[in-house]
Amino acid sequence: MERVDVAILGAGPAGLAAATVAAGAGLSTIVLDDQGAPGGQIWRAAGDVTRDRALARLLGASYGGAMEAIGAAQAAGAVFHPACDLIDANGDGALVWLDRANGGLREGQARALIVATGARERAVPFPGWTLPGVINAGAMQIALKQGGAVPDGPVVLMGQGPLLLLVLQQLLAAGADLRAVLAFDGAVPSVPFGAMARAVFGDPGLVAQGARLLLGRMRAKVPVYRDIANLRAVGGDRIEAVAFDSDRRRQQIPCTWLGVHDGVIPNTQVTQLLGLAHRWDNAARCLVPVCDDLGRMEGAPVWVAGDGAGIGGARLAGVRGARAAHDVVRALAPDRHDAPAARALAQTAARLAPARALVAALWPARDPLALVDDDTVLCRCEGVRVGTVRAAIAAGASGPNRAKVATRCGMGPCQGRICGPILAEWVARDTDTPVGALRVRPPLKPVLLADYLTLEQE
Amino acid sequence: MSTMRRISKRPTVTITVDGAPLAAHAGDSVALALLAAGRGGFCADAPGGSPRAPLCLMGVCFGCLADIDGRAGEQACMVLVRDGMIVKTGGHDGTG
Amino acid sequence: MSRGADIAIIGAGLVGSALALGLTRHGAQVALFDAGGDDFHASAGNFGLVWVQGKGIEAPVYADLTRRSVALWPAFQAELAEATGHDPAYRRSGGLKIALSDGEFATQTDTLARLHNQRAALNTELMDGDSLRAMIPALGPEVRGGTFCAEDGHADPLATHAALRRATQRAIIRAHIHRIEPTARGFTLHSETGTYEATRVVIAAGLASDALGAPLGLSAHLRPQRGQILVTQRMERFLDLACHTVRQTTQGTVMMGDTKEDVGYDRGTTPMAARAMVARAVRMFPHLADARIVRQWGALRVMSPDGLPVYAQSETHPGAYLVTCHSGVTLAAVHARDVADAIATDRLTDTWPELNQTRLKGAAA
Repeated sequence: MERVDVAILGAGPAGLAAATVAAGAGLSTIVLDDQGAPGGQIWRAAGDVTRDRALARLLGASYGGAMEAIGAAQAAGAVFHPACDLIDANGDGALVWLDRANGGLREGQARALIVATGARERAVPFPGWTLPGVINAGAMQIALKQGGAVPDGPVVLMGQGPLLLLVLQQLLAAGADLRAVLAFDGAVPSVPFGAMARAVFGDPGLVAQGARLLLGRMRAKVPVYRDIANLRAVGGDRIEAVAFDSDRRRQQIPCTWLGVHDGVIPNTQVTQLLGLAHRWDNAARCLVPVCDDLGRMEGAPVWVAGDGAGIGGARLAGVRGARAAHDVVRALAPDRHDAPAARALAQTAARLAPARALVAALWPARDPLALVDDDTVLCRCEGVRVGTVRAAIAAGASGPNRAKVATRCGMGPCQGRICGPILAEWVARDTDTPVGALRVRPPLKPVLLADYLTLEQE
Repeated sequence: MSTMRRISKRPTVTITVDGAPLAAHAGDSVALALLAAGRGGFCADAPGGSPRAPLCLMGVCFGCLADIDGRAGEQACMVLVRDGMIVKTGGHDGTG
Repeated sequence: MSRGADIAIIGAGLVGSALALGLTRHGAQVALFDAGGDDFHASAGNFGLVWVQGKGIEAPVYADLTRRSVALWPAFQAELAEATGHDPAYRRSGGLKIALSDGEFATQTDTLARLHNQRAALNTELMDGDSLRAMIPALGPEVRGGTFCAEDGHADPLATHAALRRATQRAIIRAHIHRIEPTARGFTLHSETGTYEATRVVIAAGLASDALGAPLGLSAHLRPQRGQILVTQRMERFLDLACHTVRQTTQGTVMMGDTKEDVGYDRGTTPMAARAMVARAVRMFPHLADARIVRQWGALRVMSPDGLPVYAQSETHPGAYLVTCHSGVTLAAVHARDVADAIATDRLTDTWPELNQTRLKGAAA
């Protein structure tokens, strides 16, 4: 049993910033992350990427501040536990995790918990999306960051959002054979002048980056298709082409890879497991934890920070992580609370917020069922199809958990991470009820029975 | 075939997949090594079920489950390749 | 939608749905009230045994009721599957209670000898470890023996409930009834969304039953008892029969569950309970060590003071009934037949006087 003041879940920008503040104030601090190295998704494999000349040239812009943030958390004395999967937790700060590096389940007890588990890509189901070769666009970027691996053969990208535009640029720069972009968004977004001005004033860097990415797509010699309908990934045991209607004309583009992205949603597994309050963000079409400005949740000594608290992007994540940690210090060790630093962070957060709001306004979330037919697999783990779920809802499944027990949708090893949010939104819409969520149960990741036996008995 | 090519130079790591050697790059996850080699759908959704392919490569989708060094159902995207590693694929939920 | 019914059933879980199925067969106009929400509580959380072994020790009426239900299950299953296309996946596989030590085996031996002439021990035989391993090769060397009953079996509780819902779909009214008011001609049922009239009313609302029944002179003195359950990923088939605390479902997943905890309405789980259940399961079936637990949950059993079903008929308000039990899967078949028949003919107390609420007077104190 490891007893600490603060346990931070996630070692991305938010978790690292939080660790720097908490450990810097003399609180004993551990940081758990399921990856083998700190950095989260945005700064994945930071050491490898910054050392490798080809990758640094391609990806370097995203890694600004990465090594500094990692170094600062270590220098402050935070203890990093790599390759650890959180398995169970409760509102009293008790944690159980699987230590994959050393083997076995470990227990911890923290006085405060900072949940900085980031975001995941929104699932986009459509006919054929289970074929090998169909992959999240973010996963293509992970392949690039982790192994300098570029999809070979003809590639098609589909969806919307800043990450998709970034992956487009990175793939082109890496020499990928990009055949088409199936865009969910328009070519030139229209934004109210006031919102644009506030964003430019608050975070010119982010706005400039966004403009560069949009221009990049226009300049790329890649056909862009819009108003996509009747989309289907075609193939036998892997994708061979993507077929769709655009401008009412049937298109079929041969490809070996289809990268899909429609924005990101918060990872709320931990805060849901803790039984804390969440709300459905109707604009962003995702579940978000209910917390105050500093990330404090009600009913338990738990703070959320970074994209896990609602999508804010990497720049804001670090600020939110530091703010949450300052509030933890104020709660656990008031005499060491650095009020001026906390106030300065509040101002930074306020300055960055309009640019983030602009991003959200430019790429509004779409109907997640826009591209499905009744035969489309919704739950990839259990192979449950849209039509089966439709029948269950028609037969009276009045919430996602009822739909789940009626169809097994969400019962497989991913425990509803992929299909759950779609199911919840769908049931709510068809039954005219508030959007719920699949109940999150332990273990947060499937655990070998043999591993349970490594738990020390009371 | 859906394969990937490399733009960075890394030491080669040799793992055994279903009895045959597979050359991976140091730093790869097992899932990335398999994907890059064109082995996309390497786990099934049920005993005798249809193949499942990785979607996320970041521990979310559980579409990359495999038996790695005797541990069934590992998320292959979360485990980095190591020389001599033995991977079994094709079973449901990564049972090899 | 008609707002008047011959019989209103409050609660659309396993008990209420099975009664609705049976009462509809009598031609009664049935309204089955489903509180809606996102949860079926006990009906979605249970283990799925259809079990007779050891049930009704000192209570032959319960032993008989259970055996009657098990006898009815094949016809119940066939009827549901044919009418709805949902197969409850009932298998009379035989059931085994495993002893993992000499001490446990000695206790089983003594109990069986003591119950020799009781109906609770009918058709139950003691088997040693080697005989069991010959029958189930996956059993490990630590298995010392066990008691086997060929009448035991298991079903898929979710599929059973889904089939019952489908079969009773036309009777279901989505409304959360929070108060039942007796009137000159029957009962008025109050919900947030409106009121409903019924000539007779059956309360089958699980742990909410006592609160609804009190104004009608009905009480089962119920309390929650938590049971935690673990379920694995799908596995190759290795276990057909039900092992009381371990069973393999038709999907291939393996369920484990044997906790009995008095923790009020807390449906939570604990890592230590998981560890204890896993430890026992792996001693029974060593190859489970290489399987993965996908989910752990807690569900609340609906317990009466003596653990037996309560089939209560109000003395002060004729036409009002309370039906509850903690074995909603085992008893589903008899609920859909004999118990529904007894309610339809107003003979519930006459048929099972030992299960009426009068036995419980003072028991809750």
